[in-house]
Amino acid sequence: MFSQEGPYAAVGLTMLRGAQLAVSEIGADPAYDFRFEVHTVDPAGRNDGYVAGAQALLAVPGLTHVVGCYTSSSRKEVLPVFEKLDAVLWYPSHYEGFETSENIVYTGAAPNQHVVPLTHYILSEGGRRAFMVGSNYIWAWENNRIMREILGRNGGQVLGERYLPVDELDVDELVELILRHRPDFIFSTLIGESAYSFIRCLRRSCCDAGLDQPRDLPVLSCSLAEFELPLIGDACDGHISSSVYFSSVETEANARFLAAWAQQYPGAGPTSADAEASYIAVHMLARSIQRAGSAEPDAVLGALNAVSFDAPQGSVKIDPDNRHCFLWPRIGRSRGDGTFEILHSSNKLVRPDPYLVWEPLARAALSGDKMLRVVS
Amino acid sequence: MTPPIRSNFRGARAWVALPDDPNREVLVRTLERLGLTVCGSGPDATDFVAGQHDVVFVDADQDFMVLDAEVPHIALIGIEAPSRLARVVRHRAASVLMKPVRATGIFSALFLAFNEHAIRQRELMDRDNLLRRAEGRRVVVKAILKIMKDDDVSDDEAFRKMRLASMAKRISIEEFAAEILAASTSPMRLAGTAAHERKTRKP
Repeated sequence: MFSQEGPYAAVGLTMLRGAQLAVSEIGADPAYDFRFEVHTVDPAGRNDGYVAGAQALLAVPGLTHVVGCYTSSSRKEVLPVFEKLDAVLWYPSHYEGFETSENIVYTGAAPNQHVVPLTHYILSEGGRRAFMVGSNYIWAWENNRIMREILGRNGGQVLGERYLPVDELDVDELVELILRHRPDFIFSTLIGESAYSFIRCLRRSCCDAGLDQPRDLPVLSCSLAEFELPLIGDACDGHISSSVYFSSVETEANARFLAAWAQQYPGAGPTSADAEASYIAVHMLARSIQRAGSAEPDAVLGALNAVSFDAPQGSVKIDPDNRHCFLWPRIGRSRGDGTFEILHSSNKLVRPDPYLVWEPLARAALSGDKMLRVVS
Repeated sequence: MTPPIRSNFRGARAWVALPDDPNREVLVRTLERLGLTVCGSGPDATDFVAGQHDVVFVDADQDFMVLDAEVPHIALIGIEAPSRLARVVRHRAASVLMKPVRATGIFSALFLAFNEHAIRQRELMDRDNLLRRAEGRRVVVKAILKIMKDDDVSDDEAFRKMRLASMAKRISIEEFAAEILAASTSPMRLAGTAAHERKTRKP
């Protein structure tokens, strides 16, 4: 259930491809004694399209697992359908957290796996003064709140916070305002065309002002992915992104993933985090079914704790407690060739914490950061 | 001033006065995910000890009681009948959860309960302060009149002296006024403080 039309068709298509690649692999793998029969719906980015799509899919006899949704609003909209029909939604996207449904398995990054490591990274680089820009909906609001709180606990500050309507392309005034404030960095939760316009305009204005944008006014985000870089154009390099997957990750599993992707989708462009999360979702579903010996939702959910998957980003597993994934946070910087240079990788698998229950409430512990000492 | 918003409930102790049923099961599982520790057996709550818990869950469909007025209560509502709902209002539940309990909604109920309760506690404190001051007004006026007469000063000067002296003693102005009037023969303490004040004043 991915949108191949509408405002985020590009990401919907890449997610669909990730899921279908996994279905092909499972079909060709003799270790499985079953095959997936795939039914698709295209909600076209409309919430009513998702509800109708979920109802249509779950009306198919024996169909109890759906891989899909991208935005949080679409996920919240379809949840009652899954609860009513006792079905499972495999949700393959990073999101803002604060949810643990009994009927959803979340394979994308939770906030402690994207915005929290991003904030710790920029603090460790000496960034203190932030300017926040975002598309006016929950993804931006909640990520900004989390970053603001961590900055506040660590001597940082937010110089300004502005929201644009989704799809707004008129960003000149906003860029002018940011140039006047001269923050250490910009945290962008803009999505789609708004984000691309913003980056292009910022780069142009910085050039006019004699500034080196990536160095003097770096843009940080938790969503910028490979498939978006060509859409930004010349200004696509030098932006910081927090993600559990980049196409440039050097693992054997990623080498296999890249090769299989190129073979199945020649000319489709690079892989990305959302494609990988969808790929993980289908593989995890298959492993849980195999383990449970049944595709019944209760049996499959009961088997989650016993499965893991050697994913392109590294080996991952599901926390049966909250049904989110243990993942590998990374920080990357975009390059002109449409890939990311990986600046920092977590040295351990990070447990999902969708409600940020375990995020330290006091001063964040940063590597290389000197703690305060009592000198009286 | 409103208290800061709390959004992390790690380590909070929840008492769940609910029978062993699927509602309790979902609730306990979700609370534990949110980092709370959970105890409490059935709805009768005979072994409840006040002061040991940070939040209480009660069943509004039953004849529930407020177990500890110092902590927020969250009422689970199944029957939306006015008699049941009236009880929720009268006992001032800080938030509610609808039955059947789903994982969705529990974080909101906790969030509301803790933060709403904190605001109520702050307002209660403010109200007590105002009440105390209103009750002390007559005593303060009497004390000002007395100082004006004894020290031959204006009302503003009398109030200033009393305020400085009460601050030095770290007691409220109302308490200090009451002390002056109690020692009605001579305001020794005030005189003493005034003398001290004179001594430390620069020439």
